Amino acid sequence: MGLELAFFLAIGGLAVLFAVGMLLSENAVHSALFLIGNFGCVAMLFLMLDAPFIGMVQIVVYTGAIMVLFLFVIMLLGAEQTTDTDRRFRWLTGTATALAIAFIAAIAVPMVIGGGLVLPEGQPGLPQVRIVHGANLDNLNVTLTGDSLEEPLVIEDLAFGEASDFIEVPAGEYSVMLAQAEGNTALMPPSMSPTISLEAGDVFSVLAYGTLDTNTGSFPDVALLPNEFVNTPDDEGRIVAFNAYDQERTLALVDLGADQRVTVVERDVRDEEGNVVYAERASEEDPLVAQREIVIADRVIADNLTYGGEPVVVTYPEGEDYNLAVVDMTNFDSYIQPNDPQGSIQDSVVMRLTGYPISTATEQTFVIATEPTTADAQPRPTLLDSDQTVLLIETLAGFGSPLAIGQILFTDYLLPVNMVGFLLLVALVGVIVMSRPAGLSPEQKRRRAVRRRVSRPLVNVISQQTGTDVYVDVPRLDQPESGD
Amino acid sequence: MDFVVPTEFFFVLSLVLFVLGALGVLLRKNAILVFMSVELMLNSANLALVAFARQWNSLNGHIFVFFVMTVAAAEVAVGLALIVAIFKSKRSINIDDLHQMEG
Repeated sequence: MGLELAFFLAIGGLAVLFAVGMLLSENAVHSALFLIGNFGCVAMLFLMLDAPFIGMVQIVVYTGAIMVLFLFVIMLLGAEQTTDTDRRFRWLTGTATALAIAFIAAIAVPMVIGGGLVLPEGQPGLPQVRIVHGANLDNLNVTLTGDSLEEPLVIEDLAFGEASDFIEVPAGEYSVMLAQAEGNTALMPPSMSPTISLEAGDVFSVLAYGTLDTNTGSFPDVALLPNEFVNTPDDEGRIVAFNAYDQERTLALVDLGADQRVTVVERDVRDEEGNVVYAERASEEDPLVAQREIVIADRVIADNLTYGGEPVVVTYPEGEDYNLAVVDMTNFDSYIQPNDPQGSIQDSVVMRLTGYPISTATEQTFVIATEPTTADAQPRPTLLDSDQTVLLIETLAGFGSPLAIGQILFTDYLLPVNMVGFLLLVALVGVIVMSRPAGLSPEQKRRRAVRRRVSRPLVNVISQQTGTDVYVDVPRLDQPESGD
Repeated sequence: MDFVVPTEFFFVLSLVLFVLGALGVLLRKNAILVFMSVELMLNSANLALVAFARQWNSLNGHIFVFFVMTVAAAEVAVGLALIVAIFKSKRSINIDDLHQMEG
């Protein structure tokens, strides 16, 4: 028997014992204390059920506020002794207990013997996709066609680095047509269009990447980057990294740390006899520089990012200003090859990102793409959505955490929250009205005072004999009532 | 999804607590105790809601429990004020003394 099950049985048994104690106790204060114990046990069960927020609210609201109110009223009324004097329905006790046991047995026994409830899992929703333009091309028109769609889904005039909203589509196979927005000319023959397959519950960014080169016959392609709306771990944000830039090299995303360490060590390397190896670089002015060493001793966030390969999904601790670098993985912890004496240090660091924030409860789609250029200039890398506005997804925080509940409470359930607040206000007013001393209007007070002063004994006699109240109308006296 | 402690266990526990609360409502004569039994029943319903929320991996159950707690707090405030008012006029909170409607 596992520890958790033993804990459940202990706490659950204690809760039942406390409830029975509350039921049988002769003293109302003891009953209230038993109920506090029961609520405490239930709070611990809430913690077991991944509901820390509800558990804490249970302790604060129930065992704290509500039960203190109960104890206060019991003390106020002096109603500690609850011995039930009138036993007219003595038979009720036995009957009700027997029926209760029968009821529990009728439900619980088949459940235990019959292998439990038939509890369906949560149904996954429709697949959701968004189109992201990360290709080395001008604005695109993207068309999704598939058998399950009645009309093709068209995203028009998507600029580089932009993304559509998430769109719900039926599950099925889709073909993605890319066309230039200007003139709506297709970039590839329909037979070459990439196809994607979406299943229920999927959330994807459909990224268009690559370029159109009619000489080599290369067409833009489409990659599916998996997104998720739920549950990044506490204090960590999620990153979906994808390489759409470098066709030859395998890239890695590294955290350089606070000191921004891509250490470049320039030193001479000599052979066994003490001669400088790289003679052609050793000049009269700078004779010792022969080799550069790149030291990246820092944390690797995502690695093995091959061009168009599998997106890498990682979580990383939150932070305000990370110094990140996208580097060539082949130069990790290694000397630059002797046949490359110039040392492509600048090349091996593809991109530097300073002050990059990673926040918890978010997912950033991190695409290294080629900046679109018109001329035949050297392709330059760029990060899609470097200011984290377009591709950032706000995920729900951990299940049952205050943050997650707050997010739902103040978005989907804003109206009920307001209504409950109003209900509490009404209850407040109601309690004040009820606890007010039996009120008399000023007019009634004046009449009563006058009646008392003039003919109280007489009025009492009359009203006792007739059973009705008597009202004596007397002119108002000017003297203050303090003269009474 | 498989849990170490299955949802059924929590459901049965909440059932037992609910029935105990119902017994309290039926059998006790003290209005405050009847009221406390109602609280016990509400709480057992909350337990079932949270257990099913875990089963379905949906936070809506938690939200519902939150609302139940809020309403319970309002209800307790009003209910106890009622009991105090009744005690002031009748000098008793034994519910058998409070039968205004004979029948």
